[in-house]
Amino acid sequence: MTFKSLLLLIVGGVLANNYALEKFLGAAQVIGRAEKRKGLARLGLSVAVVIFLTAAVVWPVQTYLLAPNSLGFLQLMVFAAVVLVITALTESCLKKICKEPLGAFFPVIAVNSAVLGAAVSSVSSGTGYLEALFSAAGIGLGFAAALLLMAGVEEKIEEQYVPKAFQGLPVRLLAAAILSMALVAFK
Amino acid sequence: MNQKNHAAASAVALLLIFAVFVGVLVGLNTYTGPIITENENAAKLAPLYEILPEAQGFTSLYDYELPAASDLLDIPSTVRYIYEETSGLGYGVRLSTTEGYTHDPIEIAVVIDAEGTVTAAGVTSYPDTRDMGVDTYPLTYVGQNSTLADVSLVAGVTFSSSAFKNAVNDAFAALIANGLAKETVKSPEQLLGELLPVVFPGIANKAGVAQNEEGYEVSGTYIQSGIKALNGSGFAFFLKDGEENYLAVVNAQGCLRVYDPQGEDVTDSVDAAITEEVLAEAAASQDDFTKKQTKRLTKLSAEGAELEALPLDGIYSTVVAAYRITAGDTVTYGFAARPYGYSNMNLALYYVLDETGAITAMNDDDLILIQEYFSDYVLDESSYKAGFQGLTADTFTGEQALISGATVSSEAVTTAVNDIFEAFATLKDTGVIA
Amino acid sequence: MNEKNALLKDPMLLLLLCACPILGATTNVLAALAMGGALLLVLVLSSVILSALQNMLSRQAKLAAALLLAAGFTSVLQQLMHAFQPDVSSKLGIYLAVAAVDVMVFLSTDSRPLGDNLKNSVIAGLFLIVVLAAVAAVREVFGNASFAGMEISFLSGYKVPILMQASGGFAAFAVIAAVINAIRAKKDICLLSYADAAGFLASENGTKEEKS
Repeated sequence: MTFKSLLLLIVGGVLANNYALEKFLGAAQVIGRAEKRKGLARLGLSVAVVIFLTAAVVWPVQTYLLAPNSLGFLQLMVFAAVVLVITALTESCLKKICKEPLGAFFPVIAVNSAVLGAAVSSVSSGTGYLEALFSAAGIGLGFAAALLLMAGVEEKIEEQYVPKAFQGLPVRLLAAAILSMALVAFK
Repeated sequence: MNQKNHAAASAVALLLIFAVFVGVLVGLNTYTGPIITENENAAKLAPLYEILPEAQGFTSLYDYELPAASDLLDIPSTVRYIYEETSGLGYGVRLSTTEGYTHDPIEIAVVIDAEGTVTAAGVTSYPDTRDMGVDTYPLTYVGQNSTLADVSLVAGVTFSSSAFKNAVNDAFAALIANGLAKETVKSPEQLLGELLPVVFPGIANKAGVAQNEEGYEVSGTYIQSGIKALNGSGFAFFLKDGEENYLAVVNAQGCLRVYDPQGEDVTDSVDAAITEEVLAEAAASQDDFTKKQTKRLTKLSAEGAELEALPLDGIYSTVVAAYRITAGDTVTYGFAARPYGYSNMNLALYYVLDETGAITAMNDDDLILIQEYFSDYVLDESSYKAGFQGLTADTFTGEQALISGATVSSEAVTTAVNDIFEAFATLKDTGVIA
Repeated sequence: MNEKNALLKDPMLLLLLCACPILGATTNVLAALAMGGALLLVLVLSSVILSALQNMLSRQAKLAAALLLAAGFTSVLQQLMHAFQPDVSSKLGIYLAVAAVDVMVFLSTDSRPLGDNLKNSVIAGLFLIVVLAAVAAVREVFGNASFAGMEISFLSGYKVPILMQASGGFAAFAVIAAVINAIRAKKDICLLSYADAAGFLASENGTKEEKS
């Protein structure tokens, strides 16, 4: 794979195949209102790190442990365990590095559909290790980007009038609908 | 200490949950695993049952994902699965080819019996926008033997129907190579027909199908049938002398070659009467493009340039004429080529090369033929032509000929330029060009 | 106490947490019902086991246990579906696997006796099935002029294809969510944000957290 195609994987992960806004994986975390803007970038990037590390660990596990022994059916359990371990490790590492905590709900947000989705997709189509890493990086960055996008949109929404029935979740879903439509242009 | 106990207990609980589930899943897999494999197999066999409902069952002989597990050898890449039908009805082969017009995979299923006859054929998945008769066309293959002699291509959908034909050919090749089906010997006429695009590439389009000018028919003492190239690149004649069959090709400059069904060049050994008849017919029917060619090429050269026509011995491509252009002290070489473009309509392209074989100028009759005109193509003619300047056989990659949004025309130009470089090299080798 | 029931009383939060399957599996009514059934089963089974173990587990471990349980039951379900209903399982695709994660957060919030947990899970699961069916019906009928795969001929000229894609999914879900919101409009509901939910989780388990 050329370097250009690897870079395209990242761009694709953020724009054309944004996991949260196109495939709905991680949409819940992105749409639910998180903390204020300042912490969002850090939160998003931390989740991106978790996604990247998960893919990095999961690929060799699948290729050298699960596949040769026809243990494909154990995939979900093993991946879930890997995700948990990596999240815990990332959280404790980041606590030591950054002085401000990420919040008690980092594990909740980190263990999201996008992580599992990224893990499963990085081993599915017979991709090489490098490709899997780059596409996981793209997915993680896409998640962070979606978080920031939604936060920006929410700030705007708060200034407007919203009918009672649509307040809260429904109007954010509509915002997500429009964002996702915009991203279709990148396909 | 409550914290520590808590943590320990948690760890134990988590490990326990993990272990229990792994155990449950392993146990479940021994039960459901075979069922899942069976489902996958049924999905693989579904197309074969569809074309051969009376099949009793199939045993797998070859799976392209596990080639090492099979005993079969020399399997073409288009073959995906080979099965043996359990009640002796023959062999089911599933193929996937990307040679069609859109280059998306066309999935094909065919059943061939041990005698080497097609008993069933069908298309499982067809992405082309042009309809080749997905339900009717495969039926024309039923009853055919390995020569596929009586099968014709669908007019207007030559790429995809030719892809289908090649796929069935591959199925035969795979079975014959492993002694599973009998090979039928091809007739001399069929061999010659297949030889034509090989020895005379200029007469055939990109799908390898020779294009005949509409309404052209000929017969004679030796001539059984003939093709007048739709792009004016020459002629092909199928001859019979007693029991012998021959193929004669004549290019636009009247150069003749004769071949036998084995592909041997027999120009010198055939009866002179044969060559006379062929050359006479070609001379009588060949269109004359000289006027236009000289006009276009003179335009590309200096004022008062003199053109001397060069013989095109041994050149059977889209190149129809070559000239030595002398303008004062400079000597350049002009070529005219007529490749097939959209819908097999032909383009007329003119290039001037200098003595080293580098392009100095380009001209054309029409780059975008009317059909492709209506698609979204991007072309600035003057800069496009300028882009060819200085290109040689080594530096031309095909990218320089690209017209965005007009792939067929781009490919035609690429073919023409490659043919011209090749013609230049041939003329240099034979000493025509110093 | 009242706030302990808040999660159940606020359907919006449940919808938010399960946005992924609701959006992903609703292009076909049959697939949506299958997903709903799967979610219900996984919810019920996981919450039963989790309740049994909840005294052994610390806060963090509870989250982990919920994920492992959900993943385990989902795997079992996936295996069974692959074997006996391969068409449906291929339609659900990755969303079935990922349903585990969505269910997880909801599971880890309760720390009540088994009977209550069970009841909450069943109610939540049934609620999800209804929502899934509703969204799928809207998307399939108006987006594809079909219902559960069977074509509806008189609508085929009026298809709105975007409903079958990502943005249409969000929009259809938004409308259904608004309808649910309106039905519950008698009570003063405000959205429990993710932060609140997690803060809620934290306070549930005895740790004080500042909401930002």
